[in-house]
Amino acid sequence: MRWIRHKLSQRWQRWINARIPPATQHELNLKSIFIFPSVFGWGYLVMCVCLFLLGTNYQNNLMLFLCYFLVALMLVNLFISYQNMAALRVTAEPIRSVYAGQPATLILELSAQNASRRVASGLLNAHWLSDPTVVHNDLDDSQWQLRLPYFTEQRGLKTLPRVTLFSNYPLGLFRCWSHLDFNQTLVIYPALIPAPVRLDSISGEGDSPSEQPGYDDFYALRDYQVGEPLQRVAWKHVAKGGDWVSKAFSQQQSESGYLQLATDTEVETALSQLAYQIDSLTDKSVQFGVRLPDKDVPPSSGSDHRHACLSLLAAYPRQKGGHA
Amino acid sequence: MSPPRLPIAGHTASLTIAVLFALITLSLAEPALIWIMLLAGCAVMVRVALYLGWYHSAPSVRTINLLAVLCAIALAWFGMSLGLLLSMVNLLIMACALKLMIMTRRKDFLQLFTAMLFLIGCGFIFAQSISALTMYLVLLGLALLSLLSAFAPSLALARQLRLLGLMFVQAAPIAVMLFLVMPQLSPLWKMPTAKSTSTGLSEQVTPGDIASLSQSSELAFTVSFDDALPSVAQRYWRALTLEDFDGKTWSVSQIRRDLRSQYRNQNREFSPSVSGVALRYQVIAEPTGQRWLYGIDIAQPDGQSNERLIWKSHDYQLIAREPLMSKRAYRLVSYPEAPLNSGHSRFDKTLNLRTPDTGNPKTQALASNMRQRYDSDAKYARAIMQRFADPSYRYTLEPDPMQMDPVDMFLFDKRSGFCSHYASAMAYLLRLGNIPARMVTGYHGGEEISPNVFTVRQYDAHAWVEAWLGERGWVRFDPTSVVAPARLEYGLQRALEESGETLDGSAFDGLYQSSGFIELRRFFANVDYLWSRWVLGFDANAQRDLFKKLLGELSASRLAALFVGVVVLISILLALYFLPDWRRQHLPDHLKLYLQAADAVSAYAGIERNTQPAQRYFHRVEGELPDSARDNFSKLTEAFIAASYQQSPSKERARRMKHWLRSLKRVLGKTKNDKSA
Repeated sequence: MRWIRHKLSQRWQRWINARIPPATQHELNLKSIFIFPSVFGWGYLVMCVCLFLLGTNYQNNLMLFLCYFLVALMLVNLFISYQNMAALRVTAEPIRSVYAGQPATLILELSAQNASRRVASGLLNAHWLSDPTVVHNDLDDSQWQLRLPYFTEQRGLKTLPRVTLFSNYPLGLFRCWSHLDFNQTLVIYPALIPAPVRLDSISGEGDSPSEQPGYDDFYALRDYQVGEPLQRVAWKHVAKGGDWVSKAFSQQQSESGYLQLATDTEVETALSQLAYQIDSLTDKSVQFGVRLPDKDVPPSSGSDHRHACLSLLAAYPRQKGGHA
Repeated sequence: MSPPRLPIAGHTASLTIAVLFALITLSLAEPALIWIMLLAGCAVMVRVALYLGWYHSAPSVRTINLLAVLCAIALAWFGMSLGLLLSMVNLLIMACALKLMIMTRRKDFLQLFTAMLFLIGCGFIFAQSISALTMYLVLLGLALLSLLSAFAPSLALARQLRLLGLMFVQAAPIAVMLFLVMPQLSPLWKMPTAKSTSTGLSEQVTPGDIASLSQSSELAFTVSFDDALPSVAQRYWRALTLEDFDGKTWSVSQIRRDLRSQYRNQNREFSPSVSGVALRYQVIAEPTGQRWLYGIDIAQPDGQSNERLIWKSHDYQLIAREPLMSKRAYRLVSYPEAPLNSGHSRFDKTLNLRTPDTGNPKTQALASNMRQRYDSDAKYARAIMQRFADPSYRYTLEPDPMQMDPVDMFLFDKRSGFCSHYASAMAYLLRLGNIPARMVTGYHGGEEISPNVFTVRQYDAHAWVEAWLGERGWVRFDPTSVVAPARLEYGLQRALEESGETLDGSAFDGLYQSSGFIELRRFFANVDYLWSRWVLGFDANAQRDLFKKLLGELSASRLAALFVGVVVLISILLALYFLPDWRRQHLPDHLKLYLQAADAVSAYAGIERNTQPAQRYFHRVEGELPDSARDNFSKLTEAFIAASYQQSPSKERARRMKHWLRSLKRVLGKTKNDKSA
């Protein structure tokens, strides 16, 4: 039973990947939109059948006409519903990485495919294919950004599942939907666990780690240069009405080294501690590299460097038998 | 799915459906019980209060369940006297009212909407006029509006209405086509019918009891003759034959009823011999809740389907198989010159000679006195008619009540009454004179609303006498014709004028009589008739006629082709509605004008604009253009940019742009010609 379900799901995945290939931008069209009467639509049809029976049994032409009119209305609705959905273009913004346990947010920009044509109306709903929690968006209320939260548990590189977009506009008789893959990989950093910074010097490869005290010793104030990190601005000075000056630190460039995975703790904890150290070093604009048993990142600083380091941690192979 | 729980305060869709419910309940005021309507009113008030935020939570389900049980018990109690159909309608309204009170989830809302549609459908059981259809279409629009605002809550009302209007316009032709070609089936099973308050004629006539006859101008039926019209003297529409007289009341004889059902079981239908001129016509009878039909003697159903629906009784009466719960159209052929001498003369004679033993002594004496003077039956009958010609007899709609020995009192004391007084007295006198006689009720006359089409109204109701005169069979005598000849020739109104009475005196009498108003009334009567005939009366026969007209002959392959054709037609319609290329693109004026200018320039200069911004394109081409053209194109470009990005486009600017475009085109055309020359 389970095997059959697995097989079926695999087949479905292949089929949908061929039909709606992954892309950061989707223009909804005949190929990507599915449409079927909603539960309410079926109820409506049953009601039409009841009206037909009533009209026939009472030989009442007006009742029959009402019945046919409602059926015709449903037919017209099929096209209105589809057209509304087919006017949409959905673009995903690159997803921002998060720490494990924090929610990531996929931001979808909605726009009209054709500027001269009418834009879509009504409520547009979205949920992850695997998760029925729905996010609503009212297109008539100029909500052109759909924010879909994704809950994370473990560190890792996660290919985001397909997003189901659906709309019951205009009368709820039809459900118009699409399963879109925005080709996004979410990097989930290890959760942070506070730990003291242990930076190995570049030269001393294999040496015992040496403490690097004093790298944040205050040295002098100098004029603020545009582009310098704001955290180094001497706010107290600025607040008193003085010029923008920034604090200079001794040993700022002097010390640089590698962060390494602690061997005495469990791997996941060690990775989390390492993540914490990376963050605190980045905050202090210290140059550092990260060395893991399989890969390393050469010393540097800045937010891109931080992302590279943390991504390295996220991608670190999970230990067999180890728990998260 | 939009939120499964509905917002309560300020939720427009909920309020709209509450208003809709109130309107539907009002439109069903006739079948609905008064307390059910009050309940519905309460439910609507609850919704309004919730909308305005006076309360913050709907009544609890427990409360409503209790209420539902109580209401159900009450309805079961009342339902016994209501009949199944009305009970069901009331039950539906009640359920909707209760649901409306506890509507908190989207599911409730959708269920309620579906029930509303069904209630609208039920409304057509009770009203089928054009105005009813219009009203219910408006209500349907309101229902769809509430549904639309549930699925597109912030769409502006104007756009919601426009969308709905568009949907209605698009759906209507498809619905009409479906209506015309979908097979008109005969009833699948018997439905409960409403016990209606019967209007018009009744199966009992007690002339002495009625102080004043109802003067309703309600429509009784409409007739359209195929070609030949009956003369005024022939326009006696028989409905009922009353053969039982107890001294006061004429009624349909129980013996006759028993005989009828016996014959019906044996399937022995009356088939009188007919001769003479035949009149063919269609009657559209208004609902009466009864089974008798109207026809000019001797009437027979025309065509097989009518034969199936109508039973001919041996007293020349036509009886429908089903009570007339809604308008019913049927076709008849009448032979007004044929004598009514078929049937069981022996049985008929015995039945129509029965008189009560006691009562009305003066009349009995008069009858025996007259019988001695006139030995022939025909002379005796004529003598009675002669007696009524005496000026002391008066025609009135407001006679004094005559309780004791009513015929005596009428003939000798009061001497005033309306048709049934005279008919009753005459038939009684005939029976006393040993001539079989009976009272016939029905309608006489009618108003011609358009050529060959007559409306007959309730105030045309009439009663007359039939006497069996040997060979000639049943002969019609109408004593009213000698008392008030105008009644028969010109109708009730004239007759009353002559006797100094008016019909339902009202301040609008003058208006009512003015020719303009009469024209208007005729027009509406005609519209109503056409509606009844072509829309309400569209049945399997009419459908077959339509197909015959379209296809020539009805073969299976042609019918199949017709259905395929309709499907293709609907697809073409849908393609016209929705194929994007066909629709005119709604470009704003300034964009259209600019694009035209850019086309002209690119054709002249040979430089395509493609997707370049307007300003950049201008700089690309300005060197190629002659001075005045460059000036115009520059102005156009500037105006276009201003209209697109700075201000909302105005009419004035569009007008100026048009002017520049014209001169631009002129200059470019001229220069090009010069160059080529």
